[in-house]
Amino acid sequence: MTVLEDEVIYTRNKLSLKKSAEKLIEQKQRKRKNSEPHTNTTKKLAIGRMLNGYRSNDNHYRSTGDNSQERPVATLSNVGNTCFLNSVLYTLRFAPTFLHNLHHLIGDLALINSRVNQNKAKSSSLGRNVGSISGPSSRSTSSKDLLSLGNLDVIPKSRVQIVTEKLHEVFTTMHNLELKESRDSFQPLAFLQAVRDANYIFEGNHQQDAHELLVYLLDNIRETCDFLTQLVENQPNLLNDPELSQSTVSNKFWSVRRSWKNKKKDKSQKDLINEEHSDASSNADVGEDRSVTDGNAEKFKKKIGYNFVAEDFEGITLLRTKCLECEGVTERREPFYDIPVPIISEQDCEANPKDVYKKACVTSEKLCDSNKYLCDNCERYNEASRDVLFERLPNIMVLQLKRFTTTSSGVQKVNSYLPTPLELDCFCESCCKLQNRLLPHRYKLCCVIMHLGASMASGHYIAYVKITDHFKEYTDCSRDLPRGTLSASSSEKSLNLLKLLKPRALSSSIIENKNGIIPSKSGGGIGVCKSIDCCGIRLNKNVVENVVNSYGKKHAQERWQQSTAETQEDMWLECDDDNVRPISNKEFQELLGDKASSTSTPYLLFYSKITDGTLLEST
Amino acid sequence: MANLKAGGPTNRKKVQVSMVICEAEEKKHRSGVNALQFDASLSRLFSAGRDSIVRVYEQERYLQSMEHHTDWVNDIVLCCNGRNLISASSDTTVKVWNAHKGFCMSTLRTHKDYVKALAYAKDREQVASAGLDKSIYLWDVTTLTALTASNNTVTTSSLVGNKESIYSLAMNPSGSVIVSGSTEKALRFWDPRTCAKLFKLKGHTDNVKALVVSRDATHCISGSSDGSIKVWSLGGQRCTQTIRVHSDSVWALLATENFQYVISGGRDKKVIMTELKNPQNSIVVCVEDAPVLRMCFTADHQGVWVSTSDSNIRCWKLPNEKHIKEEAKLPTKPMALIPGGAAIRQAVVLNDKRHIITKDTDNNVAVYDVLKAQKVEDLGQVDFQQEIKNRFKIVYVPNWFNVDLKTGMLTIHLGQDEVDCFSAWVSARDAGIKDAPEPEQKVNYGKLLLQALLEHWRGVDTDPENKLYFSVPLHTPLIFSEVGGRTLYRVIVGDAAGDTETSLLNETVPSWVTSNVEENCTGKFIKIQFYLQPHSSVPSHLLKQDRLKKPDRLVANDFIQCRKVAEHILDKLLGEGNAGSPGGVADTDSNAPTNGMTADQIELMCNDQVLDPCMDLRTVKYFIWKMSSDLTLYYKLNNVK
Repeated sequence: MTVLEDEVIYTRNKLSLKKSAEKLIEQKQRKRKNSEPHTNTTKKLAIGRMLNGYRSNDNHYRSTGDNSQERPVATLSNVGNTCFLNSVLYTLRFAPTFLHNLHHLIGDLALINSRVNQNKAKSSSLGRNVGSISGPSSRSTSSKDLLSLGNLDVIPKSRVQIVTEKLHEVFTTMHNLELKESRDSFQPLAFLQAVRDANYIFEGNHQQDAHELLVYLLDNIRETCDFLTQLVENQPNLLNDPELSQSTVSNKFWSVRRSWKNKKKDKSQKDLINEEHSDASSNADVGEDRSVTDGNAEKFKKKIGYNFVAEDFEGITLLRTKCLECEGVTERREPFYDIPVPIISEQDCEANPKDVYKKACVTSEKLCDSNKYLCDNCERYNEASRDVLFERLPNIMVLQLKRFTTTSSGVQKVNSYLPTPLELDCFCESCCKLQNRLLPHRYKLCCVIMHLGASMASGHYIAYVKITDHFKEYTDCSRDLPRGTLSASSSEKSLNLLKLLKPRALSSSIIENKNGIIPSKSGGGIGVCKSIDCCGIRLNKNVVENVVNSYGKKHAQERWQQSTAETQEDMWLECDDDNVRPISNKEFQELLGDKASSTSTPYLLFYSKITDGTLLEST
Repeated sequence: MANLKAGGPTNRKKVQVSMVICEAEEKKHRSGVNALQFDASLSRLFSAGRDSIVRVYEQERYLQSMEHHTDWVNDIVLCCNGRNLISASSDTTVKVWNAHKGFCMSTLRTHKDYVKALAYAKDREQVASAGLDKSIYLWDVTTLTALTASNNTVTTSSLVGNKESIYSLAMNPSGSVIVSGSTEKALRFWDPRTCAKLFKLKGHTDNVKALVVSRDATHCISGSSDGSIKVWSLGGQRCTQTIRVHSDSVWALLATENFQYVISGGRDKKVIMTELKNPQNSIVVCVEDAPVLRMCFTADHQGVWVSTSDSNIRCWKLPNEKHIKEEAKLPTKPMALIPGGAAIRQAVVLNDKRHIITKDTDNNVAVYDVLKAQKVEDLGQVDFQQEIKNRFKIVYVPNWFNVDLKTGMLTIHLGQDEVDCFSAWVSARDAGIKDAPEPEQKVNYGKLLLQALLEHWRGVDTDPENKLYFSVPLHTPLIFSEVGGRTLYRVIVGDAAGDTETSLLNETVPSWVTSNVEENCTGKFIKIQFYLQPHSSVPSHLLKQDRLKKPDRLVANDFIQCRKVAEHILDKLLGEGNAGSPGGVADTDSNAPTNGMTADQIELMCNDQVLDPCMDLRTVKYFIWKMSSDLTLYYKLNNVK
C-alpha cells in the first residue's frame, strides 16, 4: 500500500517537473514564433524527443485558442509517452456497448466475490478460522498486486482482473469529472500501473503500440469474463441467493424487455448473426413474459458468464481450401479480434473506397508451383484454391492497418494513403454471397486511432471518436442489479441519489435533442440502466453545440436542428491527450482525406455493425 | 568397380533416392484410373493408373504392365494405329511406348510441372501435351518414335498465351484446331498448323476439366467443375447450349461420332448420356462407386468403359433409341469388370523406425519391413489403431526416411528435406543381424538400405565394415529425383548391373550416397549431451571431492546404453580413478570392479524413474526426459557395503 503511494507521489513529482519543463519549451516556442528561430534547434529537438507525444499546450494555439474553454468530455493527461494508452482509453469509452458491458462485468464480479466471501465467512465461523488461514497465504502470492488492497475481498485477485477493474475505475472517474464539470485532466496512473504490473511489455516510459495495448486489454477482459464464468460454474450455489431472486421479482416491469432481449440473443447465437444494435423501439412481446421470469436463475447464470468481448469483438475467419484434383473442400475456422489489413498499392484502391477493405481482407489465392497443397484425400501435393472468408464479423470490427513493416533496417512505417470510408459494406460470407442486393448489415465508422510520425517509437497517437453517450444501450439494458452490489464494486465512490438524478435528466435530454427519439419507457428515468450513473459518458452539450454553431455556416443552428430531426449529422471528438475538441463530420473527413506525404495516418479503424433495421430507422 | 563421377552438374538441386515397395507383378490397379484407351483391332484396353503404371488388358484379362513413370499417369493416347502409346504423368514427363511390347522408348522432359492432358490428331499423327506449367507442346509422333538413345533431341512447337494451369486439352482428328481448358475458366483455341492463337471463349465459372472437339472443328463441348456442360459454336465463337444434368463437377466427356449425343461423367459418380438436340432426353448410364474420371467406347460403340478414383474399371451398356423412348430398361449391372486392387491409405512408422504398419482401402492391415523392402505380415481386417498400440515399444530411433502414399503403394524417400538418412544407428543385435562379428557393433539403417538398393550396381564389398546384411527384392523400383521436383532416373534394382544402367547410375547417383556407402561413416554418430549427478542417497565419501561441486556435463553417442553410463560412473566418478574426458564414455570398455563394486550396483534414474540398463540414451531422452533441454541423469548405489 505504502509503496504504491510512494510510487504515485513520485510520478506526480516527475510530472510537475515535466510540466515546468514544458512551460519552458512553450516560452521558447513563443519566442520563436515572434522572432527568427535562432534558438538552438538541436537542443529543442532533443527536448522535444524527450517529451515525445507530450505536447498538450502547444495544441491549444491550433484549435480554439481559448485555454479556459469548457471541455466536451473529461480528458486524460499524458503522463509521459502515454498517448498510446489515452487513445485506446478514449476509443474504448466511446465504442458502442463497451462501457455498459464492462460495468456489468465489474458488478457481477463484485457480486460473486461478495457471495464467495459470505460463504467463506460462514464456513470459517463453523470451521474455526479457515478463512484466516487461507487468507494470508493466498494474499502473499499476490503481494505485488497492491492495488487490490483497496477492496476488502478475501479471494486473491489475479492481475488480469485488477487491470479490468482499474479500467472501469478510469471510466467512473471520468464520469465523475464530467459530473463536476471539472476542467482538470485525469491521470490514469493507477490503471497504467496495473497494466504494467500485469504485462511487462508495457513497462518503461516509452512509446508503445496502441494496437498491442488494445489487443492486450480485450484479451484481459475476456479472461476476466472466463474467470467469472468458471467461478459460477464451479459453485452454482452462488447464484441461489434469496437477495438475488428478490431483486429480480422487484424488477418485474423490466422483465418484459428482458424477455424480448433474451429471445433475440438465443436466436442470434444460433445463426451467428448478432443483432445487438437493432432498435429499441421495437415492440416487446408481452405475451412471452411469464415463461421467462420462471427460469430466472438459469438466465442469470448465462448473464453472469456473458463474455461481451467475445460477443462484440470476436469474429470468425474461414479458411476454405479446395483441392483442384479431387475438388474436396476443407474448412478451418479461426476466431479473431482484429483484422490486419495489408497496405495495398494505390492502384488497387482506386475502386469504390467502400470496397477497399473487402478487397484487402476477403482474398483468394491459388496454391501452385512449388507451393502446392498436400491433399489428405489424394495423399499428394496438388494445386488448390484457398479462400479467406469471414464467417462472422464482430459487432465492433477493428481494422489494423499494417503500417509498420519489418525490414532489414528495422521497423518502418508505410505512409501510403488508404481511404477511411465512414460506412463500409459488410464482407462476411453471407453478405458476400448477396451480390448487388441490399445487405442485411453494414458497418459505420465509430472510432479511429491515428498515428502521427515517422516511426513507432517517436510517433504520437490521437483518437477520433463519434460523439454519443450510448443512451439507448442503457435503456435497452436487460440487467438491473441491486444498487448495493454496484457500490461495492466501485470502492472509492459513493453515489448519492442527488447526483443520480441530474445526469439522467441531462443525458435523456441530449438524446431527445439529437435524434428526436424519446425512449418509450425511460420517462422519469426509471427504465435506464443505473450503470449510466456510474461510468456512463456525460457530454457537455454546450460545447458540442457551440462548435456546431461556430463552424461558420450561415444557418448552423438551423442545420443542427434539421439534422437532429432528420439526418442526424455525426459529430466527432478529436482526443489528443488532455486536449479534446469536437469537430464536425466535414472537418473529420477532411482530416482523413488524402494528404500527400503526410505521416499522420489512420492506424486502427473501429467500425460498428448496423443491422438493416437501424439503418432504415436512421435514414 | 565402376568409375564414379560424383555429383554431376553443380547447379543441380539436391537429389533424393526413393524406392517403391511392391509385388514382383502388380496385376491390379492400386488406386484410381485416370485415363483409358481402347485398341479395337487387338481388343486391348489400356488403363493409366494413379499407381504410376499403365496396364494392358486383352479381353478383360491382364496382359502386361507398362512401368516407367514414377507418379500418377494422367493421360494416355494410342497412336500409329495402336503401335505406340504416349503417356503424360505428374512426374512431369511425357513418355513414348511401344504399345505392343509394353516398353518405354523415350522420355520427354520439356514440361516443368505435372503434365495433365494430351490431345491427338490422328490424321496428322500429332500429339499435344499440356499441364500445370501453363504450356502446351506439340509433338510429331513419327519423330518421337524414331528417337534413340544417341539421337534423343526433338524439336517441339509450343502454343503460348495460357495464363493458368491447364487441366484439359482436345484436338480434332485433322489437327486444324486445338482447345485447352484451365483454371482461367475460359477455353483458348489455337491453330496447331500455324501455332497461331485463335480466340478465347468465356462462360464457365470454374475450372474446365473435359473437352471434345467435333471432327469438322465447328463445335466443341466442355465440362467444368461448375457442374455444367457447354456446347460452343467455333464459327460463332459463342456458347450455344448449356446442359445441366450433373449435380457436381463434370470431369469426363465423350461425344458420339456424329455429335448427336454427349456422354458425361463426374464427381457425382454418374455417367449420363444426353441428346444434344433435345437435352431433356438424358439417361443415366450408370452410377459408379466413386467419382468418374474417364470413359472410352467399346469396339462396337454400344458400351463404355468407365474408370473412377477407385481401382475398378467397369463396362456399361449405352442406351439406344428404345431406352430413350423408355421402351426398354438399361441393365443395372455392368457388362464387364476389370477388378482393381486396394490402395494403401494409411501408414504409420513404428518406433523402431524400420517397420511400417499400413491400412488399405479394403481395411486390410499389413506390416512392412523397410530394410527388406517387402511386406512381412498380413494381419487382415484388424483394428488398425489397436495394432499400432500393440506394437508400441519404448525405444527411440531417429527418423531416417519419409513415407509417401500418392501411388497407393509405399514409397520410401531417402535424403528428402531435413531428414538425415544416416541418423539411425542401431546395434547389430537390435537390427536382428545374427552373423555380425560383434552383437554390439553399430549398423546404420540408411546405409544398409542404400547398400542393398545399389548392390547390383556396385557389387558386394568385401570389407567387413561394409558387409551387406540385407537385400531387397530384385523387382524393387529405385528412383532418383530432385527433392520436390522432377524424376531423374528410374531403374529396377535387379537391372542395375546392365551396361546402360551402370553408366546412367554413374551419372545420377548423388555424391551424398556414394561417399557414405563407400566410406565408413562412423564419424557421423549423433551426439547427445547430458548431466550426471549423484542421487542424494549416495554417500559423499564415495565420491571424488571435485565431483560434488558441479554436475558433470557429458557428451555421448545417442545409442549408448545406460549400462555403459553406469560403467563410466564406476570407472571415473567413484573412488580414486582418474576423471577422463566426458566424450570418452563410448570408448570405456572396462568392466573392472572399483572399490569392490560392479556396474550392476549402480542404478540410473531420470525424472524419478529407474532406467533399464539396456535402454539407450536417446530413448531415455525421448520417452522419459521428454524435454529438448539437456538430459539429467541421477545415479544411485545399491547394496553398498
